[in-house]
Amino acid sequence: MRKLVKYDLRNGWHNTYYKIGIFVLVIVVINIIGVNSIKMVIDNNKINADILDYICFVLGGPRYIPEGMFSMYVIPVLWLLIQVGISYTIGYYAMNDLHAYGQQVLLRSSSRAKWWISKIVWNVTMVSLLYVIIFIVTIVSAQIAGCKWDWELTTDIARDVCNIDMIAGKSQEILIVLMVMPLLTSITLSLIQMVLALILSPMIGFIVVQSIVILSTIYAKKWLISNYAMLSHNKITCASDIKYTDGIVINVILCLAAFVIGLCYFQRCDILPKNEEV
Amino acid sequence: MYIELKDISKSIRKTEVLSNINLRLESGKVYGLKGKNGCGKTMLMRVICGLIKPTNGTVDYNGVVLWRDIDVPKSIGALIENPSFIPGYTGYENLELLSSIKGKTSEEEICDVMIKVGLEPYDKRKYRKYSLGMKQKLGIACAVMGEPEVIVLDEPINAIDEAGVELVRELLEELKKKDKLIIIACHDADEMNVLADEVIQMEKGHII
Repeated sequence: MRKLVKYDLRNGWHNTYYKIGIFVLVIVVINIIGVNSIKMVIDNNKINADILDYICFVLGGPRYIPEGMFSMYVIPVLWLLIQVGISYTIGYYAMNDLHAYGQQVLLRSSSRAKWWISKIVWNVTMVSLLYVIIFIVTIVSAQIAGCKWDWELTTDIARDVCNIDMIAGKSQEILIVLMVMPLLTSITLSLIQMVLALILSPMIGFIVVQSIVILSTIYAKKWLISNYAMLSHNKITCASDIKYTDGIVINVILCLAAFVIGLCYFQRCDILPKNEEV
Repeated sequence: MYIELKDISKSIRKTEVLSNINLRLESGKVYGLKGKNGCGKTMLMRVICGLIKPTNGTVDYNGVVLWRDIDVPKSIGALIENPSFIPGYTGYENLELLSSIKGKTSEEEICDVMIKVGLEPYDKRKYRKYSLGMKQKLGIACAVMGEPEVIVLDEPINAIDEAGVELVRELLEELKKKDKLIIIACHDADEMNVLADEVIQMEKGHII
């Protein structure tokens, strides 16, 4: 099993390193925009910014839209870019591998279950790596901009830059919603995408996941799981009923479901060449 | 060592691609699958490798039934259709990575198998720079590396020059002497007669 995971990490890196490079560039650009936006608020209000303000700009999510107020909606381009980036970077490797070199690996591993588990491990590792990149780039940007090394949100910056009008949660809750929930939700979405790619097609997996992400930016509903990745849609910052505790439970259930469904399907499915015509 | 296929049928999208296949294959022999394009040779190879699940019938590996007792044969090497490797690795690096998955094959064994198919083990060229013939040779080397009990080769001499074909012949002969069960599909009828001990003629998913 360890050898299979090692193979996937090596081969997956070869398949995705250029996409990761593009992802890093996107995060750098988002942080440049974030640093400039926060600087304007700092200058206008004569305040200091904390590291968490910069992380909130990158991962906080779009403004909460109360029901019936769709006219307030502004497409959250930067936040969506991150979600699309994660999905695009990770979503295609497993199926591309299965239709190429991965068949040799499968024959040598002598177990379909091990092959699938290895892909799950790869997926979780890659999403975690992308979030490490986000955090490192953001923290470095914040340090270059001269921020305080504090893990608190600044009210003026949250309101003017991060689409958050009120902060009713404890610091620990904010940290969980801002730093743990995006990672957990992205892991869930990437596993769902991988299962859909296996059963239907990689393109359908990508489209379904992006639909969930986009709808979540508009509707703060519990069943649209990307809401759990947004501090701006959470109960501690707006009038929604999105609670991170629910999010943890739902994400864990969906991760397990994706794992089991994928495993059951993969153990019985035919592995045919791409575009097989009969 | 034997493989016994009993009443194998396979339908894909309501089209029957294999129909009522009954075969017994034994080690120490080279079996040649012969037939026109689309007659089911590759599908049959995929069934034997456990890559596709038959709609009906069983594949028995020495008393162990595929899809019931195991989902992938324990000792099999295959080259089915076009070989596919990591483009940024050399031939040696590709084989080394694959060998690491199932008990490490030694460096000497990897070099040995590459030389036997006519490849230079320390060639620094990446796989993406390989010619079609070299890719095919690497695919064969991959299939036979570690000397699995069953070796399945779909069109192994495609794109290989005459000298290379001779090396493949010698390699198959050597593996046969080591009591391996070898299944090949080949378009070239003359070559098939040279390589195979027993020719299996297929037509429209049937064995005739």
